Amino acid sequence: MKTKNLSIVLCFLLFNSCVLKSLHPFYIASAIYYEASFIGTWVDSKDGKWEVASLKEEFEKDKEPKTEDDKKIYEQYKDGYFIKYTENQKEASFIGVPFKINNELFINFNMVDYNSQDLNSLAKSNIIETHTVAKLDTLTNGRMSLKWLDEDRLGELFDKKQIQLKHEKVGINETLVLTGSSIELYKFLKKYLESDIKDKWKTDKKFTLTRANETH
Amino acid sequence: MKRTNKEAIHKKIHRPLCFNGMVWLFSYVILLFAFSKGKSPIKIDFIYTIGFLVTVALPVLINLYILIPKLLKREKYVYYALGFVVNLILFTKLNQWFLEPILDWWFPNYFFISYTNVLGINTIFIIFLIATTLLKLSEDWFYFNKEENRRLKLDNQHIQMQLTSLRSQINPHFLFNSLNVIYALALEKKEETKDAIVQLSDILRYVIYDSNTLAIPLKDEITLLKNYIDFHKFRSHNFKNIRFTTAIENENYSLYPMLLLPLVENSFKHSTSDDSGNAFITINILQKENTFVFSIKNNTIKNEDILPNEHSGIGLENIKNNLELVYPNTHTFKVEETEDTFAVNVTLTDTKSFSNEH
Repeated sequence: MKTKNLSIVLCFLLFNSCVLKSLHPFYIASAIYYEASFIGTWVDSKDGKWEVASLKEEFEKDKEPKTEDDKKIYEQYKDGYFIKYTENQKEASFIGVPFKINNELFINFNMVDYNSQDLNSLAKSNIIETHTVAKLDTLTNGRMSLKWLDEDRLGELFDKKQIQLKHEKVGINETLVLTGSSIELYKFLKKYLESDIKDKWKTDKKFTLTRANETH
Repeated sequence: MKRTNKEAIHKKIHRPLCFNGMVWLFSYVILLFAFSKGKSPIKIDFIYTIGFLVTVALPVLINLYILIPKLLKREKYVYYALGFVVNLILFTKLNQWFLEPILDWWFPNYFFISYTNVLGINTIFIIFLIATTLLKLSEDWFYFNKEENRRLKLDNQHIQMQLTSLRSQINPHFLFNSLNVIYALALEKKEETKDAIVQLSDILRYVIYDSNTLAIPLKDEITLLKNYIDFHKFRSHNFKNIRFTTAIENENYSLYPMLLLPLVENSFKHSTSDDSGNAFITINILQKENTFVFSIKNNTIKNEDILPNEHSGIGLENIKNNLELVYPNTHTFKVEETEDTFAVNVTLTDTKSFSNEH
């Protein structure tokens, strides 16, 4: 039991610590860009496993009758990915929506499932699903790199009083959570991408992904 | 195109620097408060507010200094409404299209994100244009009301002046003496008889008809004075020492009528009582550009048998009142009295606005 809880906490922390979180997605509908080359199974340098599937195909595989809500979700995420990340046998699932800004590819991560069966019900009801964003770059030899936008980078901008973006600091750790609309977040990302801020993609949460079949 | 009186008055009373300074300072504070969302403003808020204010200032200034004076005040209401809407839409769109790109270009590492959306920008522009229009109309109404009151007082004073003129200058005594002079000249079959009649006729016509206006060319006022002086020479044969000099740049220079005659009349009243042969009157008129100077000096006699005339102080008081109303803050009126001389100096400055008004 303890092991399972620990794994949940660790998995949760992986995407919690230092990663910039938002209540709303970082993309706007017109910027969504389906990148087929990300589909497949990947491994990272820390032996993490990434199983990336097309949400559209996953929906179509499911032969059960679809409700109106299902159809709505399908329309919203048909160009997205279903991403299952496993690290040390701890799993978490995400909906990833790819989008482009100035020809650069980003993925909006929204966690949908984790090993929560044994999690205290009160604790579960205190957790909200936030959005995070990662920059996806294609490297040489078919590898890919995922770099999450770091909370510290934005914290520096707020400290220097160089940004006006709706946000809140929540919890005893004063975790930064963006509360701006998707339009504002997308506008921010675009400007951030074009800015000449030093080390703007410096982050603790970065992964270099290699196709699984190439390593085995 | 000739400016209307209202435009001339408006130009005179409206102080653009003061008006705009107050309006935009107040607007800056309000917008800064709005953009910082009630928190303490930070550096980026100050920058954004300045940028936003510039984009709002342009349509507001166009509205205040082009649309309102050229259309609204000339009662072209439909054109004004059309211009107002076009001005509003054009600059709202320019703000939406260009403000943030310009700020982003100018400040590449500043992030102007959560300030306004399209609805917010539209609302701010509408509020600014309507509020400043109402403010401008209120300002105009305030000053026009003030001006109207001044004009009423002026008209009243003008009527009083005319009554006073009829009562104290062209009084029956003056007419009686004048007719006696003409009668005496006629008995002697003097050549000057007809000149005296013409001069008296000119004086009466000017006082009764020509002066019934708020402005008159300087040359007419000088002609009146000359006629008055010449006619007095017939009345007082021993009164030879009168010097009347003028240095006029523009003989069509506008002047409030009957402003000078009471002073000349006053001098004659006191000088001609002196039978010693030392009586004198010196009159100088100087006009250059917008400045007008009138000075008059005469001898006085100390005769305790002459009681102060009922109207002697009233005439000077009337002139002072007229000057206050007609040339507020642009005139000086100085009286210098010694044991045996009496001098009055009237200076008018910045009379261009008086000319425009009348």
